[in-house]
Amino acid sequence: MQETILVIFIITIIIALGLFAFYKYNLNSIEKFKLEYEQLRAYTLLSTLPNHPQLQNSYLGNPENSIDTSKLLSLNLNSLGNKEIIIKQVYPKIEDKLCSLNNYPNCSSYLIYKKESSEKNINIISTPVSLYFPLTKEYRTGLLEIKWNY
Amino acid sequence: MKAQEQFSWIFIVIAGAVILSFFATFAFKYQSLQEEKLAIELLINLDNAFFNLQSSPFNTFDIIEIPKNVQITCNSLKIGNRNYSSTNLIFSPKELNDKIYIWYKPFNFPFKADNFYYITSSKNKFYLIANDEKTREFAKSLVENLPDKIKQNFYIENIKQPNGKNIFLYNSQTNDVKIINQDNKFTVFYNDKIYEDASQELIYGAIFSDDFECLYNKLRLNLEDIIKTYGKKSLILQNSKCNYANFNLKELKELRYQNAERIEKLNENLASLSCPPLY
Repeated sequence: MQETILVIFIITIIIALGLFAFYKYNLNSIEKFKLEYEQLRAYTLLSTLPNHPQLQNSYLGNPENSIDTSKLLSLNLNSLGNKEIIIKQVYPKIEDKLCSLNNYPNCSSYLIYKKESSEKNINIISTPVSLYFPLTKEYRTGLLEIKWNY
Repeated sequence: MKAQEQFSWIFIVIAGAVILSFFATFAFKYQSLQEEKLAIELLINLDNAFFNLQSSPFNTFDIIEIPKNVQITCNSLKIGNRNYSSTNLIFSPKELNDKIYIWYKPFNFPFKADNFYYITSSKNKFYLIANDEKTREFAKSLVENLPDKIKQNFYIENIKQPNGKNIFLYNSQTNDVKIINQDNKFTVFYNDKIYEDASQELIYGAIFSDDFECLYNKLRLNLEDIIKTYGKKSLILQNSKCNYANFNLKELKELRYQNAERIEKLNENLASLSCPPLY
């Protein structure tokens, strides 16, 4: 009788350990899945942000494939999570200055969104964009950069 | 000997209970894990659909199959027991299942102000109730602009119908949604509130949504941000030759179509004077 109990007990322990390992594996795969989802969201944001109504340049209501820099100085974007989003002018190269109403358009970078996070890992993704300056009716080359923590 | 046998039975019962509770806990946890996985997969599908649709400046349409019921409120999507916040403006019935139709329309007021998503499932029915030839024509024009798949969910009737959403196109004494067309000025009556001079996008919003009031307020908040952005832009562009002071963008917050038309004309005038247009 005691031997039977012992055998059943040990087998149960082994099954339980197996199930625990399986559960942990599944949990990890979900975490990985979540991370991939967050990554996907960041990449989606990178490609949709230039078309955002508060950023996109338009002429008489027709959308243009560029970012209107005069709109970047007073942006209030909805919560986009723990990220920092910067648009930098890369060509022609000018002195590295954060843009404000006082120094526009003689500046090079626009901080359009920032929400700090305690997470240590930082991922930076970027894409080239066309920047439009309505005062001078000029187009320049820029870089849209998203830093996100995970 | 008898005491030892009794101990063995007590041991079996306790050990059995522990083992059983362990398996039960495992089963519940595993189920919740799978539910979360399914919910995330569904969210990815919806996100992809929203993303693909809004990358076009025109009206676009998509169909997706959903394996679980999704409850859509003004600020969140509920899949199973889990809530996921959403910043999108989704005009839809509260509960969706099976096959869902997503119709995207950019909201231009008069500049692009937001992205509208009209969602319905294949089983939802919408009845446009007309009482004369004029309202029947109006109903036909509303259906005409819909994507073909969604058209199949719309019916033009003379009297209120069961098992669906009734939208009255004349002033009736009911609590249902009413959309009145008076010389091409549209007034929406929704839950005892009146939305005058509504644009076409908002009319469809009232038709599709079960939570129109909240979405309307959410749109106004988003619009406020965009108005501020354009307000600052007008200050940057202002000079002795080009006057942007007449725009009075704040009146757009009332969401009256005539205000959008007025601003559109001012913008065109600026362009004709070789000034940079506001939008």
